[in-house]
Amino acid sequence: MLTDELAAARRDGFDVLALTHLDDDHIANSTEFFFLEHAKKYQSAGRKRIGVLWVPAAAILETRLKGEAAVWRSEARHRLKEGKGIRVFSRPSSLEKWLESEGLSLKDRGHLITDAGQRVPEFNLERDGVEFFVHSPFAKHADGGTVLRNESALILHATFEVSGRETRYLMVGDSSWEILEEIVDITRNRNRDERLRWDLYNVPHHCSYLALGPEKGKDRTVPVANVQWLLDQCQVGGIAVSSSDPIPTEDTNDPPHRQAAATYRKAIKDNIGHKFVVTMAHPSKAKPKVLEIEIGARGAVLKKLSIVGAPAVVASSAPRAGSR
Amino acid sequence: MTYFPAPGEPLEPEALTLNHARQVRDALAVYPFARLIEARVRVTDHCHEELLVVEVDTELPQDTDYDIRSPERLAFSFERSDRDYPTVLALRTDFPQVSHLYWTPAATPKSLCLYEAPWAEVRLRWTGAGFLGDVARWLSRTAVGELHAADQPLEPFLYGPAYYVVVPDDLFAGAAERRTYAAVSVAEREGKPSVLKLVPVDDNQVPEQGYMHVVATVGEPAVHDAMHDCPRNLMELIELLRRGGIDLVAAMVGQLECLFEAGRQPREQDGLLLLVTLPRRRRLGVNPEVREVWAFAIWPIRDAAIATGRYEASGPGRPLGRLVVPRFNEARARGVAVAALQPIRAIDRVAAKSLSGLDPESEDPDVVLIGAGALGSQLHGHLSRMGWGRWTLIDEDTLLPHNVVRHRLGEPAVGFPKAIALRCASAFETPHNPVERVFAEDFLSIGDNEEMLASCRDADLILDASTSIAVARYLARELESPARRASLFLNPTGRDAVMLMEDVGRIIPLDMLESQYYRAVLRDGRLDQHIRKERTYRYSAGCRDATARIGQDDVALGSALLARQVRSVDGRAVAAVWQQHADGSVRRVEVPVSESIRFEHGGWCFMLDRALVEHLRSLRCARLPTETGGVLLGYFDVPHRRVYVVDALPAPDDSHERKDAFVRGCAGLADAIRAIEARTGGQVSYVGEWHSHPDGAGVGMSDDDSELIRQVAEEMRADGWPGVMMIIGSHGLFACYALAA
Repeated sequence: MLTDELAAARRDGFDVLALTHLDDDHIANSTEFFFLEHAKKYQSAGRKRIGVLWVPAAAILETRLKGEAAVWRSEARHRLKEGKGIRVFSRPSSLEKWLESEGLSLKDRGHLITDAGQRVPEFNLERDGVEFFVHSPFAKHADGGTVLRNESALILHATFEVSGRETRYLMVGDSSWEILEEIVDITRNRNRDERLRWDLYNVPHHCSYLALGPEKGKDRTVPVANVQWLLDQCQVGGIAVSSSDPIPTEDTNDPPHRQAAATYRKAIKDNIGHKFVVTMAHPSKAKPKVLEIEIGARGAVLKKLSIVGAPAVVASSAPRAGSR
Repeated sequence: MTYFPAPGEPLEPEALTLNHARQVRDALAVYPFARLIEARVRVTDHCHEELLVVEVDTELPQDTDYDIRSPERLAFSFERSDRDYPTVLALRTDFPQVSHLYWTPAATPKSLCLYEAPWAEVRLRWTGAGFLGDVARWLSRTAVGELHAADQPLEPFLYGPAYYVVVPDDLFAGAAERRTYAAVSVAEREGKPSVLKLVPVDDNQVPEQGYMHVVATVGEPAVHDAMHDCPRNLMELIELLRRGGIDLVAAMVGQLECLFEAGRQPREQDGLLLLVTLPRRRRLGVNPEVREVWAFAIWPIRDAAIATGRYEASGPGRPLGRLVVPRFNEARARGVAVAALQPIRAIDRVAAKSLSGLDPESEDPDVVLIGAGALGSQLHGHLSRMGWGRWTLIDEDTLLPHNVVRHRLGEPAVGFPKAIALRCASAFETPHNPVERVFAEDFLSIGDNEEMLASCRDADLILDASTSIAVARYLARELESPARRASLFLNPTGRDAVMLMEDVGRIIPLDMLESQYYRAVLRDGRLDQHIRKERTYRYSAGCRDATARIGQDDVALGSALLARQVRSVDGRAVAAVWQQHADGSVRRVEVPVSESIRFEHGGWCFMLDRALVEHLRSLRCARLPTETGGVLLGYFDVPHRRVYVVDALPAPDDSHERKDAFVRGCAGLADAIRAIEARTGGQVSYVGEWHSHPDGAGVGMSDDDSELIRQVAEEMRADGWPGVMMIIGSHGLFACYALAA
């Protein structure tokens, strides 16, 4: 699908790839797709290049990594050492130590590091029509004895502007109610409520109840006050997307949790339509398709007309045909 | 959220019987953005209707212009007769008033208008799944105000009036009240829209149907919305117009008072035609973009007058008198019939051009057309109908029965001069561009006709469709006028159409285009059958009473091809032949055009061109250092003492070519000349001799040359023509000699 989109845009790579964190379910097979700078074996023809790689500091610092996560760590470290094509979010003291161990310093590499509460310098609202504000990781998460990956994951707030219409997208990867609670506190204390306002929200952690509150609940997860406040920041017609399997009808251990889904459905100001969307149930459980949201002068719109029938056929490569 | 109940009784979805209803039911099973709520059925004496109540998930952006929601509950209704579109009802009670809704009474579900094309066409590609997509698109695009395309006209105010009324142009110009009209009904057919024509009449003319007194009024600007139902009586009309900010009673009273002031009592058979202009805007806050005009025929006018409560009569036929205390009479108003009419402007020149894809602002050339025969009449028909040109026709012929087969005029015009009959026909058929002047006279008598001369002098373009070489020559050389000229004709088979059009500056006049056209006929293989004599059809006993056998379809095509060229040429000269082939394809054969050259000698004018001289020069160069020569081809114009030299043949094989002399042989020459005559329909033949002089010898006549031309002149005397000779020297130098014996 990404290949199709690049082909449609006549591009051979991406300006930015943001890795929220290095859990397998988020990066599976990615090292077979991208062109990686650090080793020849990841540089075969057809691989897609990455302009700037965005990673949380944890992606540099984590030590007990295996498989593809380790490959990405190597790539991130390589780029940071090279001093280009990388952006690291947060600067815990351990990052400074790592830099020193590599014969580098925060002073040399400071321009490649962005802290929570800042805008990412690669984009500019006026010039690019989009800007990214960093909520997480804040230093505290990436420090300490062990690195809890989900807690140090990237949380960004994007503001798009099309013909004067701003559309805000709160990008939460895998996160927990504790982190969200903290982010709400910090952001509100700094009078930056608008950085939590959202038209688009990606429901954290595949619709896990733990992104709402500590208790799963019987029919509904009761969110902690700050998370409820965050859900209330949904703008008219906002869309919350759970990238998960269809919401089950029974209780399950792994997300998605039906109780969490019930909370999101209820909490979103559903005044012009059903806007809690589950990726694997869109448009139907039987035949899920790529979920497409277009951001334009009228805000965000979940595309429906173009994903069925002939428009859907020509929007992607056709399946293989032939006599064998 | 409250919903209107869907009509009919519940039905198991499996029990649906109508094909389209079943298709939609089945499509709903796989279409991800709509759900079946229930199926219903409604059976009456007249109809069997099956319904599907459905919830549609609409694609909506965050910001919408109209309150369309997701999901939206709709009822699709299918009729067994399948005569019309499926009905799509929006069941939500507060579904917004948007465009593309059919008119429905208040407190009933709104009805969506999905299709522009007629149902008979739509149903050919209609599928249940496609229908769901159509509905989804309607909702999504309506929500953002995009369903009504930016270039699409606004929704009309009224839904489907049964009648059109064709109104004269001046009615829109505000002259309505000052004239009296009669409404003429044209061919009424049951169940079909009929057309009324409003025609001005004199006050002393008493039309059978009675007068139509016209009242024109203008409403307040309003945003276009759903169409309204046509009012059937005066009361409904008054109420409808009140919404548009129009006080109909006041407008009517104003007109009646005018009539009274003029001393005219409305009679029983008289009616009132109300022309209402409604400024309509696309949305609030923008300027009105159309001024919609509607017409309402109200009759009888007397009843309408009484309904206003201002007038009363003591009985039928008795004069109306004013009442002291006016009191509107609603019951009377409900008794006055109203017919909503859709006014159509009578066609005018600007509209005709616009409809034809021409620039409506373009200047109209003054065109003189000489020859109103088969080709000329149809050429004029095409161009004038489109609003192109202001026309003067010149033709002295009378329409005879055989002409009818391929003339624009028909049998009723037989016996009339073609030009005059065409003027009558155009005044009747295309009043937006009538023939302005006609001369039913021989064009060549123009010298005695000051009016005809003036018409030609003032013209921008003179089109010669007379197929008369005399006319073409006269146009080329005699007529004093700055007008550009063109000859238009068909070949004898009627399959080739020819246009010879001068450049705007007349640098290459018509007669020179003619001569170069003949050269193309001689040289271009594609034209070898172009001028072939055809068997003629004799329509009477006179020697000249013969005409060509050509199909009307060929004349129509030829005239259309030429008309298209005439209206689209630029300033350059055009000489070309359009050849129609049996398979229907048309090929353009270009006639190369080169600069004309005149050379005078011996009282004769040689009409040459650059390409001919170049041809002779290359024949000379090919034989240097010896002399060479051959014969000249062309024709004489005796009255004007001109020799048109079209082409030159090289030396026959038995010629003697020496360094200081040339003796033309004659091997094969007679046959060659005969072939040339045949190929050009006898137009081009031998006109004289040519030979070359070596470098340094000049182009003066030697003793031998003088002897040669003398002998040639002697021979040519038998034809009454001079002896003609051309000498070609070095550096393109040449001289022409003419000698009458």
